[in-house]
Amino acid sequence: MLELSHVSKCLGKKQVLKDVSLQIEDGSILGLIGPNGAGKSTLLRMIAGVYRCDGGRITLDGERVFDHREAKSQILFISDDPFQFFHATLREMKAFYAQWYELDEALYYQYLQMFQLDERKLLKQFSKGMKRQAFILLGLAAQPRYLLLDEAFDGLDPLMRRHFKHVIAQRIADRQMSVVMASHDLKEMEGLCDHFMMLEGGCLRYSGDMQETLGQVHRIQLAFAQEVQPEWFAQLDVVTMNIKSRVVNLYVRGDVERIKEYLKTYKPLVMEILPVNLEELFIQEVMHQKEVRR
Amino acid sequence: MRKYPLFQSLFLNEQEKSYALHYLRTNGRLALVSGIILLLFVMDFLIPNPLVQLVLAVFGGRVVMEEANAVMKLLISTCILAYVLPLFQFRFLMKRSHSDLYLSLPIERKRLFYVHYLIGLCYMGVMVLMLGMAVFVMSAHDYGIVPTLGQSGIYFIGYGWIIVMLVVIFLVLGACLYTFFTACIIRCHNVLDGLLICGAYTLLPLLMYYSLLIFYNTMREHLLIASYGYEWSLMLSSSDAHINVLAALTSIPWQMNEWVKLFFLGEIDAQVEGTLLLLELLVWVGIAIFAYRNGVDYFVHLKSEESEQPTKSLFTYPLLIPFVSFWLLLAVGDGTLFHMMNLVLFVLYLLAHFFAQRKIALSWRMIAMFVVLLCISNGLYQLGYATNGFNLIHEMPQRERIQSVQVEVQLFEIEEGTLAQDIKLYFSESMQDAEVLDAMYMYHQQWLAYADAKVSWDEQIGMIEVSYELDQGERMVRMYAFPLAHQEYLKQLFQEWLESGWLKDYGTESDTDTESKDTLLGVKEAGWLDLHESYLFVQDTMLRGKSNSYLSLSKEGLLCL
Repeated sequence: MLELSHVSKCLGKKQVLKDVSLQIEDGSILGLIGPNGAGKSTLLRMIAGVYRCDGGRITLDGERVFDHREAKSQILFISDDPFQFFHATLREMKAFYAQWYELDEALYYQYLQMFQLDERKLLKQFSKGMKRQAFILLGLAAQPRYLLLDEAFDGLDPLMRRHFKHVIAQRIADRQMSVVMASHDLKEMEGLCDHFMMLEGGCLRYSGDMQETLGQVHRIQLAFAQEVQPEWFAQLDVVTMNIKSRVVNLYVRGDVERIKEYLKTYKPLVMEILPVNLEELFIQEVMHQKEVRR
Repeated sequence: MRKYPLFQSLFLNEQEKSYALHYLRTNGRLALVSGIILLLFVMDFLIPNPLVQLVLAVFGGRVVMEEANAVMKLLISTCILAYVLPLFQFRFLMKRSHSDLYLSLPIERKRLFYVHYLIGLCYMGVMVLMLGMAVFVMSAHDYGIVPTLGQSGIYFIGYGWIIVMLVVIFLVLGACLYTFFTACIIRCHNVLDGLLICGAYTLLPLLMYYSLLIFYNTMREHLLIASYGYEWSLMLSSSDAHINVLAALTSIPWQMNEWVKLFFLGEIDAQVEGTLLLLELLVWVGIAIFAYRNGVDYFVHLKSEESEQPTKSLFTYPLLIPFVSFWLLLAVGDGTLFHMMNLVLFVLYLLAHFFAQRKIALSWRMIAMFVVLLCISNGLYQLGYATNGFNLIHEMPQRERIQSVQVEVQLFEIEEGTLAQDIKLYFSESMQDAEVLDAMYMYHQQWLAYADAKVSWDEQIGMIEVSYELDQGERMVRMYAFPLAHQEYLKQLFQEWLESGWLKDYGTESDTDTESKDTLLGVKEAGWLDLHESYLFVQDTMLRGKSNSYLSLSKEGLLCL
């Protein structure tokens, strides 16, 4: 199990990550979400051993990952701008990865066919999406225990995204591989990830099971006969609240039945409870944090 | 306690070997092309060279000194490789996407450092050996295998063995230089900084050397009545400066050059220089071991998030900018705080800081540092003035140290009250008689009252140059200019010396020496080697009608090699 314990990191004078703790179970897909500059890429680099923790520790089965050969051999990181050798083809990159990881040739050719890439073509001649496919292909064929993907869906067309999701799901099912991916495409993340982690301002805001967490946040639309007072909702765990005269839009955390019971005491004319998706949760949480900071 | 030993396993494991081979394969074309370029550079005799034709014309048809020329190019090639290879091997640190890949690979950082270091070192070793072999083969082809391997010419061993020894020395010193630059490069966060920092470290010894010479010369001008001019050669050959030792100690290319001079200028039996150079080589080996150790340490703790950022490591701009500024301040200074060049240097100093931090941001710390440096450099000047140049500069040597003396007189012709263009030169033999030495010492004391270092050329009546051979092989040369007002004194002195038979007319030089002078001028113009110092010494010797080992070496060793 990959474990992050009170991890913090400063880039220059800016603290990018503050006291982040997390456990990544084997065979899970963890989505890292957060606004720009939240520390997602930094966290991935720290897990991959590229950056050293300023505080806390990252361990794999109890061993520190940083500068540890055995631990790092189980983790493969594909950055948002993966490096390719000068004048290299996909085949040459495969040879490079094969030296460091247990690359499965059969799997490689299977994915090559699926992604319809020419392994003899120079990588610099690939489009952005094709390059992303090529590195995802290499990452999957290398069969690491933990595959770290930064901007996982960047440049992939809908068909390729589908292929990608299918392959990931298959790999997870076939083998105990875990995927940690950072992306701004929240719809795709919601459909693919079983766990997620939201970073905001370097701090961990949410983490846990995707459906469970989303089930904990509710969007509630209310209409009252009289003027609405903000104090009415003080006892609820409100993420954001938008009051317009007698109409209220609320994003609230907690048990839906209890919330309903509580709100009924103010006798709303209309009360509608809607499910929240990841994108909504993300936007409301970011807005909430901005509000708090203000 | 450190977590890893000083020397890790020198052998690569299977994975590292496989990676090294893959690395060589992927960079093979580049390695091959650069190898061919260097080979052509070293073996450029294959290409028709007008310079060689000139040499052929001067020396009567013998192909000369191509080996020496090639060895110098081998030296340059070794330095270029040591300069470029660390940048190439560790370029992955200078781009975030590159470091993402390399530093996430399942290999410990110290091993990653070692593998890349080793690949570069091996490539450099193979290249130096290959180029050295080419020079060796060329030597064998030109002179035949016997003189190449056996005794020949003025040397007790064949030229080929000299080349072999130099190649070995170049390999050791090249490896030291490569290691030192590697330790610098891994501290740089972009390619431009890497080039500049290593370039600065390459040129720094040269700057130190010339700054010290200028500092020394300025003090001498200030302290001496003798007028001395700015000729480096005079200072280099005088007993006052042992600065070459420092230069060779601070610069590997310089030291390599000293080795070439040692072997190719026939000083192979000069035990003192050889031992000194060997000690300096050992010092560099020590520095290289320290640099390697420090490099590994730095690499293991490297903050890769700083790649593509301005370079801020201590041994880069933060150290180099003040250090270079100090030496420049010393070079342009004269003991006064306020003058134009200090202002120019201050502007350059600020510009260097702005470039290093990639932004225009002035800080009090920067200004304070410059003021401190200025004060130190001027303080050194004041201290030098107060202590006779740190007790190094004396108008006259101690009488008991003088072994022999020579004088040279330049007397300007006077026609109708104006100075004519003609200058008559007279010189003495080397005089060792105690009475003569006493007399000359007395004359020297008199000149201090008559000579004027600041007298302009058109107000001079003549000059006297006195050269002392001191004990411990040292020399001291002093030159005095006499103003028109002391015309009578100089004429009387000149008359006395002519009557006593001390002086000889320069025009009586033999044809052989004139010929030698011409040939040496040819050597200089042909520009084979950095023979500046030796050439001047030889020329100086010839002017005094002396024939010594340098002269014969010049004829046999240089002209007929």
